[in-house]
Amino acid sequence: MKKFLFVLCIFLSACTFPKDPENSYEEAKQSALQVGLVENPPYVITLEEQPSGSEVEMIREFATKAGLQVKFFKGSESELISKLHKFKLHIVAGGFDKNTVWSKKAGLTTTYDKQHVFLIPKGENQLLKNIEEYILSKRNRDEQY
Amino acid sequence: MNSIRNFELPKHLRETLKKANKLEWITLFYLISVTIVMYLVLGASQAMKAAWLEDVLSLVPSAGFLIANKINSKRPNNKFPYGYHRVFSIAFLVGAVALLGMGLFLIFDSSMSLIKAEHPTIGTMQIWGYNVWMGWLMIVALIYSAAPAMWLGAKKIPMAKKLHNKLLYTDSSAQKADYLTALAAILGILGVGLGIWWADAAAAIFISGSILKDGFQHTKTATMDLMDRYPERLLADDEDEIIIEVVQKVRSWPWVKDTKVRFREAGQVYFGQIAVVPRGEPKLQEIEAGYDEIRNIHWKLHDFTIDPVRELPDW
Repeated sequence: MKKFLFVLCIFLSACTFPKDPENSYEEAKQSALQVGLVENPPYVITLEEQPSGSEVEMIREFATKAGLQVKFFKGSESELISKLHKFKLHIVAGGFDKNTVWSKKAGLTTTYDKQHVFLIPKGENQLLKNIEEYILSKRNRDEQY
Repeated sequence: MNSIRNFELPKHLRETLKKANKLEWITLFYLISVTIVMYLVLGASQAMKAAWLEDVLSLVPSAGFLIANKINSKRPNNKFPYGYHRVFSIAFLVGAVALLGMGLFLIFDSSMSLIKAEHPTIGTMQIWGYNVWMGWLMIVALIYSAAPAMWLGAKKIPMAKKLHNKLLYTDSSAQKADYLTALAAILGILGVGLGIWWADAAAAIFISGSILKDGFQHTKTATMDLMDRYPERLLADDEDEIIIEVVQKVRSWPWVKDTKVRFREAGQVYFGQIAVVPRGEPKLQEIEAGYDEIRNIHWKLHDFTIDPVRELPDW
């Protein structure tokens, strides 16, 4: 049993693990990371031509590090989350609290400041892992300064 | 009075009971630690939820045994003239009904997450500076919930058989079989890792099914015991031949023409009635000697009466 698990660990770490059931991350790599933005200053500001705000900056930084293009979509909360639920978006940002009411329809990342999270499509665990690894490393950087 | 006595196990079994009691204490603390560890890594996995609830429920028989064991050995008194033996049957029934209810709830809950195509989201945690996928932590927790349990279960089963204690037997056989739950949940989580979102819900349904089956089985046994059916040995559908032995013993007495015997289970021991049609007038010494002889057949034959009758009763 333990030997079996050990072999399995090696085998699984060889390929990408965990995988996305709906291939969100692969899609993002091939075309672009599709991000829904809900106006909520100072986290997300969408009134100008170029979106800005702390969460938008984080997504830009994450995308650069992962070598992804980013496409932003502006919209209302319910509209964007329903798109996310159908796996048509990869991230929704808008200063969401970790106790957000949307946790039934969307997956939550870990918090980047002990309070706020990004929303992702439920069960897209490869995408989640990549975003969370970025968030965790950012958290470590923030703690050092 | 000759028939009602204080209950005490034979000497070699008193030792076994002491050991079983100690192991149950260990089990209880171990299970509490398991439920805490599992709760910490629960996440959004349905299979983990099912396995966790099963672990929480498995506290009931262990705690029940420890409590019942304290009450069971109390002396009979005016308020409870038959002693406190049934406390084990009641604890057994309570545990069984809890299992049954939880099984039903989990089957429903897990099926719904399959029907609604809920994709379980499993994130990453930072431990000592390393990023670890929570799925791995879940698997470690599941192994912790299964391996020691199997060892404890295997240790307690022979004791339960010797003591004729259903509560202990249920508890230990559930623990011995716990690796199936853990394995199913592990496969579910690995499946999720491989991108098969329904693996988790499927594993959860499998686990719920096994909980439901146990719950149904135990509720049935517990109810039938409380309904005073013919005593069975621990491995179901196996009628206890001690009672046949009693019939043969009574028939072999020269002063007895015919006999009818009935016993019922009260926790670990049997209560019963032996009706005899004597040849001529029955003598008190003969009946008294009869009590002693039957008591010597087995310690389980705890409390019974020998009733001389003119005609055998209908039961």
